Amino acid sequence: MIRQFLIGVLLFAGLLLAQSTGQIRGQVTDDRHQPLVGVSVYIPHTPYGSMTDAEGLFILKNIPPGTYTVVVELLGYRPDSVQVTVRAGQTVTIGPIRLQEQPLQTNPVVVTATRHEAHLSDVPVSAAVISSRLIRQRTNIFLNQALQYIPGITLNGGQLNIRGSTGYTRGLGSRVLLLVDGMPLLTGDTREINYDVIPTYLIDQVEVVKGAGSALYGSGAMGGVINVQTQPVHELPAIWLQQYGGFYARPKYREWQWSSDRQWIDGQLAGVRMGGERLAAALIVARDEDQGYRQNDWRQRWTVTAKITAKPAEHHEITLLTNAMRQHRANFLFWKNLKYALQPPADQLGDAVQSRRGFAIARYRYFISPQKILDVRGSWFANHFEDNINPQTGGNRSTANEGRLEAQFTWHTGRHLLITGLSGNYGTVSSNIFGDRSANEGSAFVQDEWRLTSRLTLTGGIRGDVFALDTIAPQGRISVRGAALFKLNTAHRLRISGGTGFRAPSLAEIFTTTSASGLTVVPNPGLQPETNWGGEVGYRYHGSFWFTDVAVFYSRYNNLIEPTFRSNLQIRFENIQQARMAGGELLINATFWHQRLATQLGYTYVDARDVNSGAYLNFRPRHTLYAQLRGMLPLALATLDYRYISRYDRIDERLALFVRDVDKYNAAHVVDFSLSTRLPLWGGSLGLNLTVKNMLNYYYTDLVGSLAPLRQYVVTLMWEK
Amino acid sequence: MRRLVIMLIWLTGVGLYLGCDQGLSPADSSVGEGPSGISGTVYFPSWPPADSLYDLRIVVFKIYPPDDIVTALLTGQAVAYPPIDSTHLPFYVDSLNYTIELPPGRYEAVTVVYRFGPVILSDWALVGVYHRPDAPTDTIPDPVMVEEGQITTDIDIRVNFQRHISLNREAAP
Repeated sequence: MIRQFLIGVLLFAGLLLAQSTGQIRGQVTDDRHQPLVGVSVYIPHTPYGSMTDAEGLFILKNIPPGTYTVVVELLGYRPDSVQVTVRAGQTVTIGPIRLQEQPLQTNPVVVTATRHEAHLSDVPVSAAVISSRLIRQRTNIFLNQALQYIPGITLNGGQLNIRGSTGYTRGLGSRVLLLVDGMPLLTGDTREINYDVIPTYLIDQVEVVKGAGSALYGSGAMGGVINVQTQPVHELPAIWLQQYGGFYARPKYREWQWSSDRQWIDGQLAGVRMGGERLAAALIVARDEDQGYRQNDWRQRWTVTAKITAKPAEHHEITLLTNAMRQHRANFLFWKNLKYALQPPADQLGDAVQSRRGFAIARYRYFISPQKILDVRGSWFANHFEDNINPQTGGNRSTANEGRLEAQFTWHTGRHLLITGLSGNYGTVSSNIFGDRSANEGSAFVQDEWRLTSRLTLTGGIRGDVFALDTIAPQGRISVRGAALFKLNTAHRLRISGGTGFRAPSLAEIFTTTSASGLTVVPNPGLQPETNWGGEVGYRYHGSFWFTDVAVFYSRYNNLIEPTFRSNLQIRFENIQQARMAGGELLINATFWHQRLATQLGYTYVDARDVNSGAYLNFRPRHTLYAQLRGMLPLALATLDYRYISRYDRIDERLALFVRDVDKYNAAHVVDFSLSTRLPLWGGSLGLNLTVKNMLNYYYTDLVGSLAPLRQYVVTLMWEK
Repeated sequence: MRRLVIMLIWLTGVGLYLGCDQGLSPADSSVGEGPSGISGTVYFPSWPPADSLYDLRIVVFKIYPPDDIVTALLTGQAVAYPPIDSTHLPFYVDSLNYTIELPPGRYEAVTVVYRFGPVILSDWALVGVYHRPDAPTDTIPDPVMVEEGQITTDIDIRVNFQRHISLNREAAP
């Protein structure tokens, strides 16, 4: 009886709500009247927002009566807005809104830099964004492939280096923090970024914040933060089908032709989205296979991703993102020698790794009022791998689980935007090389963004972290940050920012005990956290057709953890190095011919030195240059990317003990080309994409003893409805 | 104008073609500048009497265990050092350093064999094998990799003439 009464009350309340509010419907198309899918349509500073379906249609429901500005945004197009007056019980129809294609997007909304939504031009630090459109267009199957187009970022054997923060430690202990939808996602045992587990096909945009960010995100955010934002799910049904395929070019030299067969790349994806007003879900299944351009470098991967959004009541939103990945790949570590650069040493033939990884991220948001938002997030990240690399122990294996809970309260009061929160995590590791371990961490943070005048905004934040790594006594760290943004006028910004960072050592760095090929790794329970402090001064000009950003930066790193050789070829991780990174960055973006042609240019100079010896740090390229040319052709969009990474000034000479021709490394000159178009087909749209990576087939090393990928041709077909 | 565009396209194409396949090449490798093989030291803590010591050699097996040592040498499945047609290793020394040139590849066993009797086809015994320092037993050989243009070092062997190692991967009593 009580149940029936409650249902009745809820239905009545819903009816009342429907009658006391209105709706906004509409359609968004491009300037050729083709419907645009995935366009964000929202009313700023309110919880009301939606996205367009394959026919470009959207609907905003339960809007209280009033006059609103509806904003329409899609990366790659110039944003638009419409004034709408909503009356109770009525539906307002607008549109079609025609968005003009804009190959250069210079001012997207980002959340990572400040923990709240802000336009890129209004954040007081260096930040960059990659759109899902570019990731798709370049056929970036893995996240690391997408990140290499950002000025100031290089990859050393897959390990992320932002402005000289990181050399090469086989992935252990990343100094760049990876977030997925705002939640940290580093492996529990080695604290490395695992790119395989990120579903690139569900990415909405990737945000990169350069510089120390531990005051916002805690351990690991020393060199910067990468935040993968996944696409929102809404009730409009959709189906996606994708097939891509391609192959590697044959190497020019006979010595490098290790196989008479062509090496292929291919993958399939199928996805569906459905639901209603209160509940919507998307499910995507994907398979990737890469035969590899090198011997014993193949990979097979299956991924299942699901995202669910529920709106149990007005102003309440729950999302759940889950991803499960199973992968079997060969393990190509270093070349045999440069003469046979595409083959591993004979004793590494057959080395392979099997891994199963998965994560779940749940988020609850309560829009208490336009000024107050409560954001509670929980995540779980599970990793398991086993390999056959160390036959004496039956192979290496490790299982790591980590759970995390975080609550954030955002309060916009007067001239202040206050953000405060708590977070905690608990992790366990079971491994034959790291042991059976546990780690836990707790933190509290607060940040105030104070709009002192209409031109000057000050930001200050502090965060306290306490962490306990297995049997080692708990330790604490306080991180701070401060920033000032001065708007000279609507187009010019001056900024200055500074902050501290730290990284607690990973369980692998402290506890690894293993032996292979005569080398023994021994544990070091006395390992201390790495710390850094740094800052930057920057200037940004944001015009209609022209964007410029100039920054100079400085960072000081203490207690850097490096593997060191002890007696009897024993290796132990130790806090040995004090280092500093100084440099500058220049970004210039411009559009021409009514925005049909866009160019981007980014140059970064880093001087990374050991403070005591003055020597240049290992594996840090001094110069990186990135250039892009994008042109709107009559039926297609063409993109030409060029990357230059200067030769390492210095490498770890001890690698010569294990790697032949370790001194044979060079600068990278890489040209990538892509051409994409979209056609109507079977009631939906078919995207066609041709990508040629490393078009000049330039032979360069992406790490010592490792020749980077040869030229690849990839064709992608994606149909969506 | 049209000619200029066509010329630009041609120039770009030629430039791209000429710019292809640059960078590192196999010729930059240091491999091939030196010989490949193995080197190390053989230790002799004790020696048998002279009347039971006819020959002494290092024998490197590509396949191990062989049916017998002589057949393996005659069929090319093993390499002797010094070669069979030259003088054996010196007797009654405490140790000796050696370097053997070998083609690149995997070798299943590096051993020391000696002839204890007058019959050249049968009186051979295996008295030492190379094994890793952390190996559980000193009678089972560990394989050795030889890379092109590289001498694999530290292939050390300790000889015990009192113990003849069985070719069945088990220590003889």
